[in-house]
Amino acid sequence: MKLMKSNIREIIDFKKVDSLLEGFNKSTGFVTAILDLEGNVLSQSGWREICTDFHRINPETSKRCKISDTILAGKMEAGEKHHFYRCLNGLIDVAVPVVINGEHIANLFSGQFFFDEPDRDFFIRQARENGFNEEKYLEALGKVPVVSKEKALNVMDFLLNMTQLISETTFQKLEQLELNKNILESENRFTKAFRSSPAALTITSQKTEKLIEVNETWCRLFGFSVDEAIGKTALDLAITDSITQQTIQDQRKLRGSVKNIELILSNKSGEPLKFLFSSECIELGGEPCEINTMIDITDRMQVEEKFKSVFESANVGKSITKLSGEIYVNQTFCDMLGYSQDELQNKKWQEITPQEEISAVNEQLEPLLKGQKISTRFEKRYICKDGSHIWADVSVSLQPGLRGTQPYFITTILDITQRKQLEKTLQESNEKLSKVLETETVGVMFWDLTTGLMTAANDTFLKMMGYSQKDVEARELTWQKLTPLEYHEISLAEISKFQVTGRVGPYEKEYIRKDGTRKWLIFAGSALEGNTCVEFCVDISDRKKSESALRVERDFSKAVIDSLPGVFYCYDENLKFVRWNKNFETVTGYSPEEIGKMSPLDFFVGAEKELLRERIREVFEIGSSEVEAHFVAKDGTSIPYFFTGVTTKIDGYKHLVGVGFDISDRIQSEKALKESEQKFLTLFEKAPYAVTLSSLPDGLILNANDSFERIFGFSNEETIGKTSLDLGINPDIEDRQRLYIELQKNGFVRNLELELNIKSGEKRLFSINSDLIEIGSEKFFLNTLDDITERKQAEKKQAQTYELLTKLARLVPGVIYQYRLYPDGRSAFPYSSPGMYSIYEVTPEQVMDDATPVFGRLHPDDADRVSRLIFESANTLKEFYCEFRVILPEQGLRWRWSQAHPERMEDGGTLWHGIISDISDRKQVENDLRESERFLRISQQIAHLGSWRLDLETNQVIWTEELYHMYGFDPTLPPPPYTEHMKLFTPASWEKLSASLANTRETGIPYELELETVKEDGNNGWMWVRGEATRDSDGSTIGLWGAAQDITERKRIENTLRESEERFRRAVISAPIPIMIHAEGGHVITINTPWTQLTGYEHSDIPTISDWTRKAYGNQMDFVREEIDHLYTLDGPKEEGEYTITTSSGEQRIWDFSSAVIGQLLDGRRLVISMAMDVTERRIIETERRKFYLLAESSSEFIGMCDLELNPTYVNPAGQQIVGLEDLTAACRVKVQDYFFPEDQSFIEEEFFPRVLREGHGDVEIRLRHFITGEPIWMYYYLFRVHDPKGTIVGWATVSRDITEKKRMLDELEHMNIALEQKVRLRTAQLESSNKELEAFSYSVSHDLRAPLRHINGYVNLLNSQFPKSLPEKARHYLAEVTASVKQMGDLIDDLLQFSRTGRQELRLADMDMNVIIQEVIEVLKTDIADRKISWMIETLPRVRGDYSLLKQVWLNLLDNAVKYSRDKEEAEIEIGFTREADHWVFFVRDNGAGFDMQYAHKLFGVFQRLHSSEKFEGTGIGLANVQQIIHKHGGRVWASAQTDKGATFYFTIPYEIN
Amino acid sequence: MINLKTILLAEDDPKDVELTLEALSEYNLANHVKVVRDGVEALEYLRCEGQYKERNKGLPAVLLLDIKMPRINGIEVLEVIRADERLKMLPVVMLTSSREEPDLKKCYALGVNAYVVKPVDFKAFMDAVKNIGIFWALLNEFPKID
Repeated sequence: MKLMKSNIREIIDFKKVDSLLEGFNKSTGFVTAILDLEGNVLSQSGWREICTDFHRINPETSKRCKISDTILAGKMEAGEKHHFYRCLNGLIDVAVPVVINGEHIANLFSGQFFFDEPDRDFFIRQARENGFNEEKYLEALGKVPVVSKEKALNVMDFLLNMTQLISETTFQKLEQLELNKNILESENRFTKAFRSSPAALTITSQKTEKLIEVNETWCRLFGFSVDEAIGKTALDLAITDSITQQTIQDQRKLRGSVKNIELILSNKSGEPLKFLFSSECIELGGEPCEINTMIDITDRMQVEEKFKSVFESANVGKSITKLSGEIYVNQTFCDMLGYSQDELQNKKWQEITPQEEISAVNEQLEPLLKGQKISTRFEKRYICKDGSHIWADVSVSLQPGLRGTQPYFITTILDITQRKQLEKTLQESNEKLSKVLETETVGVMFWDLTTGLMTAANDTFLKMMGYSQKDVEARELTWQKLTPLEYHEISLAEISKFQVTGRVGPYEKEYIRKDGTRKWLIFAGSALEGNTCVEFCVDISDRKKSESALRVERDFSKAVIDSLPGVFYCYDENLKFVRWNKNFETVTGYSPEEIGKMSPLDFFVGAEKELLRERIREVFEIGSSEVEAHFVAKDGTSIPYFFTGVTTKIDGYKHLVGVGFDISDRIQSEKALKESEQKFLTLFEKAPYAVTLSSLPDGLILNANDSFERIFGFSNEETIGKTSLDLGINPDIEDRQRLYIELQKNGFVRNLELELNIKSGEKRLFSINSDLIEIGSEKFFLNTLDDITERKQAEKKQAQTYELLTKLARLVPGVIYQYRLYPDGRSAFPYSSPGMYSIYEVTPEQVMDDATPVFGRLHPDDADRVSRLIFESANTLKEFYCEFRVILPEQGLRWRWSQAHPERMEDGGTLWHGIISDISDRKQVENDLRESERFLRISQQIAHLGSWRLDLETNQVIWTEELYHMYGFDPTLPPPPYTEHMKLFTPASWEKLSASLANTRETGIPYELELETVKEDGNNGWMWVRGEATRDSDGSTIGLWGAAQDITERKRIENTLRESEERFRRAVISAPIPIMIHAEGGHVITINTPWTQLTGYEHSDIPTISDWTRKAYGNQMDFVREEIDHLYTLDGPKEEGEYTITTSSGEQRIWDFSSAVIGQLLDGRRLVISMAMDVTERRIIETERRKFYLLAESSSEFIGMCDLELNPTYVNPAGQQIVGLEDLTAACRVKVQDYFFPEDQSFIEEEFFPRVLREGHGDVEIRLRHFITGEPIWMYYYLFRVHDPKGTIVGWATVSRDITEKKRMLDELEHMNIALEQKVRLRTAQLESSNKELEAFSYSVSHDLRAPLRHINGYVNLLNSQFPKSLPEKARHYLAEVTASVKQMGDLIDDLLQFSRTGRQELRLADMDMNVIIQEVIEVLKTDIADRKISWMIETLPRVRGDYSLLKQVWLNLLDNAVKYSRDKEEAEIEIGFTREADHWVFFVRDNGAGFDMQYAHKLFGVFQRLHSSEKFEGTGIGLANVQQIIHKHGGRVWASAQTDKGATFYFTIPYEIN
Repeated sequence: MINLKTILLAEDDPKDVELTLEALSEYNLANHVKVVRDGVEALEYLRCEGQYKERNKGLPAVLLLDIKMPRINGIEVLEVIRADERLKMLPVVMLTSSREEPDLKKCYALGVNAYVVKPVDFKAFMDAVKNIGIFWALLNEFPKID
């Protein structure tokens, strides 16, 4: 600490010093003054008249005074201890410097006396020259004392000591002020950090569990004021319960601290808040305490919790089943069946399984019992309490029994009744639907494939595509327009296929909606008349969407997992692996099949297996853990790994997910580092010389050892980060350059001697060794600085001693001697300087061989003592020291002082080198001084010092009044005797004091102590004491005296501040979260242990923010650096958010940072505290939870949640779209009831909600209201309760499905069914009646029409046969015509009857060979074609299934026609062939005959329709009608193509399968 | 001359009767033909009731039975005959214009002895009737009825 010179007046109470000096002047006659270095008089007393009245008044002489003062002061500045000076006016002045704490701040002057009688003539001359009154001037001169130089010196010493005492006392006061200020600043800094931390912090006593400190964040979060909280326990405040408290205690016991556990705590108003809680033990002022950190994660958790709950509440039953059949079940399972736990607990599974399913279940369980399978899954029914059945998806695994108990089954049961019902309904409706209309499930449209135009479409389709009937009517919709370009090819292919097969699809493609968006549709269609078709389509956009979303999600997570640098694993509570990455297989060397069968514990051996088991258990219980262990691969190699684990729920079951990293390198380097660090540390810290480590090239000192601090006086804090230039150690530029150049050249510097400054400003000589070293890639200087000042000085001194000795011998006022004591008792002075004579009045020669003459000179009273001391010194070889008297022939009684150093001689005798001098004058002064002790006492009082004196002979104690006050005694009473003094101090202090007293008594060395005093009122105080010995005239200790000062207050403040500072410093630094304190400009002041543990960086790795950002952020460093720079200008705490940092091992961690400015360094740089939460693991969990969220977000079902007051809290996008709400805010603005129609309200509120409330869940088909259009949306609405993890109901959730379309379809279907049935009934009735008519008709045809024909025929025949001659030729011709007509009529009737019979005839199906039929038919036609030239081309025809006689009729008709119509050709060509199609045969008969005009093709197959005159080609016109009728009966088609005179082809088809 | 049994012809249409008799006359069978005009009369004849109370007992050699007749049609007559203990063994030949399958089936089910569709062609008709007459009246043996 530097004192400012202007402070001197404030430090020293000069008024008191004045009075002290005044008293001294009066008692000794010495005048004194204190002047500062500028020559200002600060204090003065009793100046000589000759000066005050003459010299300092007269301008001439006063000028001389000034000059004299300045010269004298100048001498002081040059460092002399004191200086005598003869002033220009002839008087002697003496000056001593006043040095406080090593700093020369003022000078104490005394003087204005003479050493010898004054030269009167000089002063008379001076009086005349300056016009003084000579008489008065000489009178004043007479008053100037003549003092021996020795006496003057002694006086100066005394004064100096006294001044020093005063100054130092004062200085202590000042120092204390400074210390207080420093501590206050530090306290303030850490208090601020504590108070303004964005995390809630508390300090609690471990013993009482009471809160000692809480910060602002804590108060804000919990709603308590500081006063309310301090001194209470968490239980008193009801922010926690005893169970939670116990959990925390258990954690502490288990791991020593609590790290990031999630807790629910209540605030003042009882609301539960979720916290991330950490706690660390520290010691504060000797008491064990805990620092607790609480980070509010309520908000963050709420959303996640909700989703978790939704999925947890999704009803998974669990049961444990013994082999004997008894079951133990969970609540969900009971809820499913409507039993209470107790009721079910006594049952066997067979009792709740339908009788007919028991054997099926046993079949499923058998492979488990035989060990063929680990688990099985099947669907079965359970019997509910009310007798109804539910369907369940059941997974069963067999667990081995522990310790010889029976194995048991673990079963998970998923209620799929809903699904089953839905499936059933769906199936039923599908059946219904397909029965009636096959493919018309959703959209229907009609196409003209020639033009590609849509000719009609139903509303469903149009709605799907965003078109209206008007668009269809406008005839603008072509398939090309609706189909995206990339699907054109597919569509064309479908169309060409369609033209052959008459069918389309089913195929999937995208369609363009009117608004340009696309929709995925699935198509199927079939042919209508000509080139038109009907197509049916279903919207599959949602399916496509979720398909692709799922695929992306799956690919992504797989990529993430496989690209992990370490191993990834996921296994369930039965320690069965469900997932691992490629790396896991690579590292372990096991195949996926092997891993699938292994337990995670199989990868560890020995004690680590147990450790792993323990950690895994911890993960499943607490949620996360980590461990270092050796990973044992298949080939037996074992690699140290670091494993983490967190729990996550997959399909509702707890799984452990984690990663492992190879830490071999880390462990090895850690070990190497530890060893080298240890070496370095020992070398560095324990070296007796100063060692520093500086950076290159800026020379910043990065480390300095203890010795550095001891030798140079700079604390570590002052040193680190500075250069030697900054510290002023080495201000000489040339020196430094020399050092630097040599280092650069050689890489080291050896034994360079340099003078350096230490903190006090003193210059000291050092031997410097420097080395250029590399740590990592960076270069540093390692410097050792050995203080060789003393050594050098000693060397120098030694050289000088010999030189000086002779000179001194002559100069010293006394004698220098060698004194030898022989073993026989003789003694002599082998050498003595000429001064011998002045001391003993004997010559050196006289005593050279025998010392006896000297002893004759000793004072009789002292002779024995001297002898005794000589022998003592000879025996102990201790310094000889003695003050004694001699009686000399010339000088009489004189005081002598001798000091000598003994050494043992070879002969056993002793040789002393010593000095003896005259101390008569000093002794005189001493006497004088004893007188002045009185004034010393005054001085003590002034300095608020108590003092005491102890007379060792009488053991009497004298106290000054001050001391009484300090100890609290009555000043009028005598002080307590020394023997009772021990009661005044604490035992420890008394021990110190009594030891010091004894020592002082023995050796005369003064002591200075700080002691703890015991006061009567019990409040201990502190006292500064100083003691020294008083000696009598012969130098032996006769008593002790000392001074004491009450420093209780100072100590108290000091202690309080220290404790407070410590408390907050510890609170901040030992907080279990990473903390860094850094200063503006990027200097990292400190980082705490968690920071180092998590990042792997020691403080030395990251001395600056630049180092930190470079290492932790990589190419993000500039950006982060900028962010950090902004922090220094903050005016409150700031939550910076999450950053990804890279640790020294290259691991990426996510830290959530918050920072606050906490004050300034002394140089004005602002300090910032940055705290981080390591949220890496939490992010992993969040990601898992986020999956649930994404699932809900991307689901096509309506997923919604609401609180207990039925306020919606979440509706997923699909849900919002279904009811026409634009976003979540809109969805949450309305009540749940508003989603329903008013007319459904009473059902909802009186029936449905109570049911859900009662049973936990419920479903209903109900309408929701579209918020924009008001249209009803039919929903399959499933509602269930949502629980928090404790089981408290927190709200409701729904997973519902839009069934409007289905509902509409079903309605329509029902409608259509009714219409259809009516139609069918009508048609049946019509058919029945027409059938009857037809029957009657054909009956009468057979009977009534045939009879007259027969008659005509009969009578004509009779005519011809009975009257052959009587009939003229013409009459016979007419009769012939009548006969021909009758025959034709008969044929007509026969054909017609045949046609009508065929129509009513049932098909008699059989497999037949078409080739046989053809042959038979040709045989029939044989007579007709006997004289014809016909070229037959007949393919070998397939076997078909059909009615033999009818098909024969078909071929007969067709071939008959072919033969008939080709008879005009010279050579007829008749071709019979077939083609094979998807589901039917196509047969054809082609001829090259008359053909027909295609414009009459549609009349071809009509009854009695003929295209040729009967004159040209005979026939009834019923044959083809009959063919068509037969083919249609077979489910086929018949058509023809022809060209007039170029022949005709008749086609007919026969399906493979005939219904 | 062989003692020929009577042929009973049940036919309502006089033209058919004439043409049938014309055909049978060729083999001199026409004299043995007894013609009845409907089913009722046929049964009366067979049972010797009504106007045929006084006729000589004994069954005809064959009954040629038309289906479409007034009052009781041929099928009904057949049914009654086959149900009558005394008449059931009488040979019955359906001589009809109907080629309807149901009629055929029904008649055979009732135990008709033959089913002949009257051809439109007169020659064919004559041949058919002649053949029936010769077969049933001359060739067919019949058990004695007690």
